[in-house]
Amino acid sequence: MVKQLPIKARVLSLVFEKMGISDAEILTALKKEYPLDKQVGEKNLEMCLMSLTTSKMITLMDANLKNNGKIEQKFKITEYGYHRLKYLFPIGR
Amino acid sequence: MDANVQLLLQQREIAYAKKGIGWGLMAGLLWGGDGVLMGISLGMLPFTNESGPFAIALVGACMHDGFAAGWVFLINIISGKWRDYVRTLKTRPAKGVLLAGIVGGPIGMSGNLLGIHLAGASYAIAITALYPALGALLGVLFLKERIHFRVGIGILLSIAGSIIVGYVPPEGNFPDFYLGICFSLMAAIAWALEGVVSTYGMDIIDFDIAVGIREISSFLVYLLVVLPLIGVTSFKIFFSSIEYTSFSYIAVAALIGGGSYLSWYRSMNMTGVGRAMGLNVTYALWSVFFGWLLSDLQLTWNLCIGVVVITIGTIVIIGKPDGMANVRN
Repeated sequence: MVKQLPIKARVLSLVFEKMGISDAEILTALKKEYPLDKQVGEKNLEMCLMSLTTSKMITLMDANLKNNGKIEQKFKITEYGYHRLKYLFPIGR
Repeated sequence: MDANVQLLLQQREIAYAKKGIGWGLMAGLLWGGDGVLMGISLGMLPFTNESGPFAIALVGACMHDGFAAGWVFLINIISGKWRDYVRTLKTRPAKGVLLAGIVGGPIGMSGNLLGIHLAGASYAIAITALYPALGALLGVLFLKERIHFRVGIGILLSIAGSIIVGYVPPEGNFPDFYLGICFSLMAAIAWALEGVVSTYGMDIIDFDIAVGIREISSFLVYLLVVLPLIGVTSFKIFFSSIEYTSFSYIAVAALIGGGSYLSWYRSMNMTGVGRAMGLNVTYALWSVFFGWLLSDLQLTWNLCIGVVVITIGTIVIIGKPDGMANVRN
């Protein structure tokens, strides 16, 4: 069984895996990978993405206003975020 | 990108920065209340039966962090984050947070108490109060944080205020004065390092989980290293306290203290180490208020002046949150 990353770390790795990934795509992936986690939701994900953006791990590529009034954001990883990726994996792996 | 969307995103960023400031203020308020309640608890039985103030304070700190670890875990169960504990502990940033907990907990606290014991409270408190300035400096060096001139002035004012609040005229004979000064400096560096190292870890791990790990590591090092170093007396105090009311007082203080750590770590992640530490140091202001409210603290001139200086410093730090959205370079 593949070892699961902490959710915030997984968000970072998802942004690394697909440049321009949207918040909705991240949420779908997280819900699939962490079905038992109550914390996986829109509100917590927004907080997590804001935290990663503030610490310059990821950056906003594009944003559009959707029909339901919500903003769809697309992200890419920064050089600093990429540099920190090695910390995602367990020691000895 | 559409201009309207840009405006909405900017508003969201400012709201996020304001939340970070709010958490920083909350951390100071709760830490002030926690300190006063811990002071009351350690003035009760069985602690008053013991002669060594050093052992009493460290046993109290051990119990405090043990309870806080439990409370934070409970909060993380309620918020549904608890599954992240094990996942996080397997990563390298978690090792950093573990280390930060040990540095800021047992090492910082022991340095602080030894400093007071060997150099006297007046000098020791003045030196340990410098930790926000050291934290801001380390944040600029290692995390590439932006500290505006105005924010720097605010941090210095808050430090000056907390020194004035804690000031007691120097008296007594201290043969190991310079060693005491070194211990106080060690405490200030330890607390500053805790902030920077844990914020570095929180780039990748959740802040609430980081606090949970911090409290557990601090408690275990107190229990398995610090208390055995003090000797049998420490365990005697530890276990005998279970039968007394002070035990439940410490549990309540730890709930407030755990809340303070959750707020502090959130604030450091959201608004930067320098600002968060500058806001956290307002605990000196709140400890005067809670001390006056809950104990027999007499309001003296230095307390009143210190409170005014801290308030001015805080207002200067908060200033215009609009310019605080970009924390790092």
